[in-house]
Amino acid sequence: MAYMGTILRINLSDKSIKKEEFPKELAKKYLGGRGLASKILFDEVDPKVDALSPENKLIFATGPLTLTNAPTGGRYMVITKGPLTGGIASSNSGGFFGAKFKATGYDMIIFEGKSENPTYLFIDDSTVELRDASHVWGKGTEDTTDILVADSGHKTANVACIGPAGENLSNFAAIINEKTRAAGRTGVGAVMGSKNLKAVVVASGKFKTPIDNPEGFKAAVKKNREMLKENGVTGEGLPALGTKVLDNIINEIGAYPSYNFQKSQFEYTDEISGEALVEKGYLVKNVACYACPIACGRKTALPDGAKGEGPEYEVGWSYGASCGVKDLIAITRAGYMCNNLGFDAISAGATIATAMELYEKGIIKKEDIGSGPELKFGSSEAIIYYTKLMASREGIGDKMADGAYRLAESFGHSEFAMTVKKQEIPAYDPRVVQGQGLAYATNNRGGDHTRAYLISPEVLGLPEKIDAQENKGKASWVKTFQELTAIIDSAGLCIFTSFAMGAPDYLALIKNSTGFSWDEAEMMKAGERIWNLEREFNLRAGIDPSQDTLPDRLLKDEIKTGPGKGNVNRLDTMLPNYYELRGWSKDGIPTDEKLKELEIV
Amino acid sequence: MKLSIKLFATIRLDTGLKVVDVNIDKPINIIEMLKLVSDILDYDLIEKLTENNKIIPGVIILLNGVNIHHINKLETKITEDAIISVFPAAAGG
Ligand code: SF4
Repeated sequence: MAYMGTILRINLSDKSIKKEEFPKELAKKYLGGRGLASKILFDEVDPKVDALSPENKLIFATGPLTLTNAPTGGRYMVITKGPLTGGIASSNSGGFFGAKFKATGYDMIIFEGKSENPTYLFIDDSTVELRDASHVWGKGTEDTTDILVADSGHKTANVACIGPAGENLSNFAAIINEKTRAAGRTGVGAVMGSKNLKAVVVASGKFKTPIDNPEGFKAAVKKNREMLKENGVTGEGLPALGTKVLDNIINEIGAYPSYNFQKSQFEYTDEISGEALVEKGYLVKNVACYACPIACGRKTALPDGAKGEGPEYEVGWSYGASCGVKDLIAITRAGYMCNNLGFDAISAGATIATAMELYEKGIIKKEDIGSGPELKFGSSEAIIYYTKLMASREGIGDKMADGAYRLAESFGHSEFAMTVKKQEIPAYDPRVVQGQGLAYATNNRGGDHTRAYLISPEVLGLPEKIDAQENKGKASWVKTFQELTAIIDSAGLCIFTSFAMGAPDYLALIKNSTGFSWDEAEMMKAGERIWNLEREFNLRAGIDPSQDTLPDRLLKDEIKTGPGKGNVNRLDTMLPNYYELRGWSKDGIPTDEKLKELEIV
Repeated sequence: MKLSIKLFATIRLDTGLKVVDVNIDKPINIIEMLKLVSDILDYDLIEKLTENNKIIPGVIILLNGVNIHHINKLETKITEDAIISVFPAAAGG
């Protein structure tokens, strides 16, 4: 129950389309979405393959709660081996595409091989076919979406596609659905581009998710929706100001990295904050993804008439504080560009910030940038110009499109790349939020906050306030968050629900929809299984535990000013404890017993 | 003593104020400070930030950048010039 029962397997090389039975027994161990697709990738793809080769596979997956009225029940995930980290890549997106796709009667699509020519997949209730995409190749995600919706003959068709960034194989290319929602991180868009797959178009779907215990499910949904409404964060804070409410919070505690993490506060935060977005009149209204009562999305418009969504907290930071830019219009515009070009806006902005530091230190020279604007911190012109250049891979944009780490490394100075496992670290300085640092360092998809959002307890006090500077006990928090997040993702929900909901609430939704006889321990075990399987994939791909670390700047250079003054991240005091709690060897390798216990091998 | 109380998120949008400066002649604790500012603004910060004399989950009150949770919560004494940052329940990611 809660699954449609069929998987699509599309071989892009020979254009075959197969319908396969959904692996129900595996779902009892890996739930669905991220977890189940990771298991399929693990079983079918050699972790050592080149991420951009036809041997890699690209999986679009929904969870059991996708296409239900569980709060935020509309997510889909894209799982593959990623080009940025070289390990397992997995990205989660909202909007409406995921629910619409599941309504066509499938749980998952596995893309294999590589199409000879640009192609896209068209799906409706009765049709699944590969169509020619040469007329949209080279176009941005906005035009691509409009054209393919018109071609489909269904005004309400939903499109997930890549832009020029994915076509040109930028290591941080995203897949964008409904023009503004991104399966953003880890370069899943580049894998799609490498397969000459421009889009997936879902024209219409008539199926509903079968629910095992409709009465019990209805009661659980009602309870959770009420909780989300009554909670100050999900019922008021996020709807009013979106994620950008965080700008000032994180800046005031001194954990808001600026100038490529050279500082931990940004002196112009007030001018680019979530409050400023409202006060300057750029916010039009808040918008919600499928079945979401929170509605954290922002529809915005600029004085020159440009319209779009965002900036969210992360984009506002990567193009703002991280690049030293205090121009909210340029930041908002850069966010729109990332959506249209098909970039992960965190990595895009953070890579430009790295380039700016390299330029200001004289490592990137004037001749390296040709006639482009100077790569100076604070330059609105530079963030717009180099975003375009990265998408087309022209000039220095070619090196930048490979990401901050490879850019800095190509100039012989990888120490200026603020990355973990070659993925750009997001907007929280781990010298102030110690547990978040451990979460970055141990993340299976590299520098990223959404696999264990320790900011929640360390800063926001949810579910309880813990001391951000304390190291003791953080390993346990990180482990629990990593496992619960794996469940939330795999179920098909948005992690923002976790500001108000806890493990028993997710369990009630999962049990009543799937009919699994899980208790809370079994559910968390599934989360642990998913985490260990991803880890094992990465180890086999060649990402050894020495990469469970942070850039030296964050481990050795004390913060010079502000509330975080004098601090570094003390990873070495947390990591051994983390490995021990995970039941791994002291070198960070999952033991045979652990893998057997979790039935991974 | 000079206190600068910085207001954020919906409190800023509701009151139209970014900062309120007050002078006091003797040390006060956070809850007293909130009452004082509520009176000045005619805006009930106590209701917005506390419930049954406890800080509402998700609410953040910083004394010179340090969360009062880790000092003495609402009883935290302000004994010298200070910047106090006040956020209603908020989160993001
Ligand atoms: S909370 Fe925001 S991102 Fe999450 S489902 Fe709702 S609108 Fe989408």
